[in-house]
Amino acid sequence: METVWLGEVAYREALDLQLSFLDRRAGRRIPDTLLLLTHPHVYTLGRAGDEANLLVSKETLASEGISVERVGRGGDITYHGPGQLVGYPIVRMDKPDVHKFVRSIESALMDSVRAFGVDARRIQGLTGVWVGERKIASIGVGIRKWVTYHGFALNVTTDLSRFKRINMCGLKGREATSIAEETGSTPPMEAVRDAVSAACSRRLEGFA
Amino acid sequence: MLIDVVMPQLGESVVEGVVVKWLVEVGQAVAKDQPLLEISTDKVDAEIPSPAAGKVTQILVTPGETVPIREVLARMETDPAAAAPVEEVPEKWDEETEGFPGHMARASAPPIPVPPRIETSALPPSAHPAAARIRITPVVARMAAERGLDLSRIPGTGIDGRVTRKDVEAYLASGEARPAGPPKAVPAPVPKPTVVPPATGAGPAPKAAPPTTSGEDQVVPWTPIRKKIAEHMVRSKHTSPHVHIFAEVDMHKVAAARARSKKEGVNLTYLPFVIHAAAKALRETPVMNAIVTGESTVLKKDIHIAVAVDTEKGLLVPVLRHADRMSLSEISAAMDDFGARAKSGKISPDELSGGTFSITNPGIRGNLFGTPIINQPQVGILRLGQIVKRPVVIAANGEDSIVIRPMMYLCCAYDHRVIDGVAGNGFLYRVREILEAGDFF
Repeated sequence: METVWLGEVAYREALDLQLSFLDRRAGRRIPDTLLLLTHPHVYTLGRAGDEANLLVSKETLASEGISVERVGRGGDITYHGPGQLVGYPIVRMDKPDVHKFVRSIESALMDSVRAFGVDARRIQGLTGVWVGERKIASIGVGIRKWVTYHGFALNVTTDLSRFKRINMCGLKGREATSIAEETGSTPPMEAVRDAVSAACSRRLEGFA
Repeated sequence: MLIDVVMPQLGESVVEGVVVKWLVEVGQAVAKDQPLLEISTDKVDAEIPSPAAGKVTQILVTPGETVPIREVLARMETDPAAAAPVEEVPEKWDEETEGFPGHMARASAPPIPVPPRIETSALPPSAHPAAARIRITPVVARMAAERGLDLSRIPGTGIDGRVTRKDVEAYLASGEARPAGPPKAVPAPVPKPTVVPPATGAGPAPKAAPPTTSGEDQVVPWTPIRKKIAEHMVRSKHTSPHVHIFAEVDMHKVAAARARSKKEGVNLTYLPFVIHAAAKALRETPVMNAIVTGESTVLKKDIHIAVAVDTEKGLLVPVLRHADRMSLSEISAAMDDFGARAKSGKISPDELSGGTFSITNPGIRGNLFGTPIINQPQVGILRLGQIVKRPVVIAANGEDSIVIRPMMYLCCAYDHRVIDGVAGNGFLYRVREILEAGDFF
């Protein structure tokens, strides 16, 4: 699997990029590719997402220059922004096994944060990666032309107050956490990026 | 051939999925791999591509339903004649699997596919007496369909005279096959359409008696550029069903912005504002920023707007690359530069290609409005109308009043093959909103 580091990319632009990688992957012109990047502040709502889970008004957000995007993915509302490592694995699935894929992403992220001293776990029935009852990474995957897109968002040094403005993933009362929050130190994004890249290469092999 | 579209198995532990949304309707023609529906399972949403080209004949589940794997979701009638030749042969043909991906489709009655047929010709049903005796696997049927082969002409060497993959390959290698195009099934009289539209362009005028010209008439042979324009216009009208929609735009905020920049010494025409607004709206309506190739729409990531420039040599359409990233003054400067170089003939061919959307501005004598022709293979075009001061009714402080405003009719043409009314109208409405909001900087 190849990894591409894109730096900070606006949400819509990143979606366009994903789809162009997806098309090329579907046409077998490129290998499986992991896009790694960060987004500027944005709240995204899944197709079934309820705006009631956004706890502040759109006007307030707009005045702060933060957009709310409705996205054609599953899941409810989430936040992306600086300090959060976002990964979009573009993986071809000749024999789709979506559960295994999601579990593999979880494994890769658990491996990654462990390297920074965070002991993370799964919670049955709640996709994502958790530290105790706090969520450190969210996952949402889409498949088109039998190629995956969308992916995961791992909080590294994310400003966690941003999550207080939403009912995260539609779940009331769940809190977000980050590597910085859990360890009290702020690892450089580059180091986390490299760890995630390596873990994904290991865990996301063999779906084609 | 009637086939079932079944709920695919999306993993070993996945036993069911929820149908989220149908992307097609009963009776709709679909291309192979065109997404048919979206299903969802545990934070994973998947689009299910069509296993074949054809027509959807039945939709059996409604959105919101939870469906176990392998259950039939829809039925479709495949259309072998429509199947284009495959660009690349998948690495492996497997005689034992049914189609590709293997779990996507299973053939239902009739179990033995009839050879491809020509849809429009009224062939007698007995034209293929041999059809029922041909024993083939679905994979062979697919190969035949994709290459437009008549299986009754291929000698079978398998068990019971079964046509195997090797037979098809040998047949193809023998050069007897005519790849692509409808199969030469029966030399039955195929009714020909009486009007044959020029397939590749305007070409020479239909053969008719040379027009009579009197001594004072002037015959002007087409220059190469005129010929190219003619060909393109005819091809576009034959290719795309054009829908033309209009917006009436209050340009007073644009006029005010122009006045402001004039004070700062920057002379802007109305055109850069429209380009700027269109680029912004295109970013929000990806389907308008697209090109068509074959039976696919390519949603373009970059926004490259082709802008028509009138020159002495005829109409030229230089392309503003990444128009969405340019400021008004950058757009204006680029247009001035194009205009100057177009007049002196110094535009390189590269600058005229790669557009993803077009805007045409006939200028101050452009009349009230017009219905532009789409610049192929793009799917949309905007045309500015004349800007005229008109009395309009506005609501201010809860009261209606009549004011004088510079008004413009903006026409958008879109390719109705690809763009539905909602997207097309939404796009133009958005362009108008941006222009009327007057927030350009």
